[in-house]
Amino acid sequence: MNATTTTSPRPRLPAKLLLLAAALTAAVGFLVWTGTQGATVYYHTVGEVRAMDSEAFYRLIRVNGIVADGSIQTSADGNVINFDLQDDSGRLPVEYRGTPPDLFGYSAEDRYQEVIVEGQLEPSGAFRARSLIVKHGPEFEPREIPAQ
Amino acid sequence: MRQARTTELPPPRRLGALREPANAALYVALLLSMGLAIFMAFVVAPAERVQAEVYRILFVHVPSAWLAFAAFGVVAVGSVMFLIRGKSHWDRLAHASAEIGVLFTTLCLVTGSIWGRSVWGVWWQWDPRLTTTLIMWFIYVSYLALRSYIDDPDARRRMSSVLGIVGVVSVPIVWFSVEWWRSLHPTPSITNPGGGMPPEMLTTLLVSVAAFTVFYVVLVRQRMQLELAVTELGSLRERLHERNEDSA
Amino acid sequence: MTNDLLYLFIGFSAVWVGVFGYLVYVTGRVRSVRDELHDLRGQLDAPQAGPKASSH
Repeated sequence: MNATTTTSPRPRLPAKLLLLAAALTAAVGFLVWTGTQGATVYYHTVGEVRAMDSEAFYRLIRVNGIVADGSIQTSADGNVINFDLQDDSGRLPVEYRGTPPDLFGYSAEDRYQEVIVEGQLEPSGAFRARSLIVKHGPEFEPREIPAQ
Repeated sequence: MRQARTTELPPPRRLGALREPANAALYVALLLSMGLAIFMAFVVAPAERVQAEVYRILFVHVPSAWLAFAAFGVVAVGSVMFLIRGKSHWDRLAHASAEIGVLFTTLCLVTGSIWGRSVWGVWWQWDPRLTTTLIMWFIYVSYLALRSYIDDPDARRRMSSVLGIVGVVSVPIVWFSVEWWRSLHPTPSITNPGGGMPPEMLTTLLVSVAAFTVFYVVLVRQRMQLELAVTELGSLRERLHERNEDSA
Repeated sequence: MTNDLLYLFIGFSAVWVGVFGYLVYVTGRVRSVRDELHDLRGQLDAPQAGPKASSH
């Protein structure tokens, strides 16, 4: 049965194929290029946002940092949350309206407090977040069973 | 015109695939390893400190990702071998593996999205790992689309082989995306010095990966069988058609 | 973590339905294609009144 083992002649590359390969290479290249350019990073550090100053006003950006210990303040009606975002490069007051993810504010040990906020920097220096994402690192621990 | 069927042919094999010893052994291995993986994922692995139960999605999410990578690696190997040797079974391997790789990538995206909703608070983010994974998914979906568009078998095999080789570039890009760029997605827990998990979780994860690997092998074999049968069906139909025209 | 168990259930179900569903689908297709192959072979091998059939 010739269907099982067909020996084909040496392939000749058709133009359509080269076009496809070129498009694919361009897509991958674009991806690498944008990834290495600072302009399109997924998030900024607190220091970068501070350095942008007025350039960052009212632009939608993401900032990554640790929620500073004890800085979380929830309004009486529970709709507004204020906290400080902190990293090696500085500290940024954040105001978030809405329901935070379940894991927000879980730990006071700095480890699980890393968040990414998306929103705008205001001239007052405060960051108005419209979304709040809790980051989770690669570390997993068993739930501790209290010793008897 | 209805022809009487000859009786000397063996009857259609109802459970044919299961009767061959190699297949039977594979299916036994599949059931055992899958059973063990599920047992370990829900009983042996402890609840996690922060995420409690939902982290167990890891035990299907990580194997899905791993097998998607492996499957696309096999696509590249099959494509290279086809271009060198010109034997159609290498092309069949690449085709089967691409389809299963797309399946696992889809499952990886779905399970990741569910975990993200629970832990991050969002279903989707244009984070480098998620974005590159989606691009990888598109590359292999277009690989399958390309195959279905080209009617000439030789052209189809050659062109998809080239795409199967070029496309595998996406695998290391997806893998290293969390190290190269700022991302939301966690870095690998096993190979990363910053990460880690207790031994019960790690063992469970490795058993799950092994079980999914067996599943992958079963799926690839079955998919290649299908392709072989479909090809044979096509040529038989052609012969029958020719003969009917001759006799007309 | 209100919906945790629900998410976990959906995640595992999606994967199991996905892989087992695919296996069942492919196995079923293999079976039906083989059945059809068997029928066609029968037709090809059947003696024909017309010109001599091509050898099988």
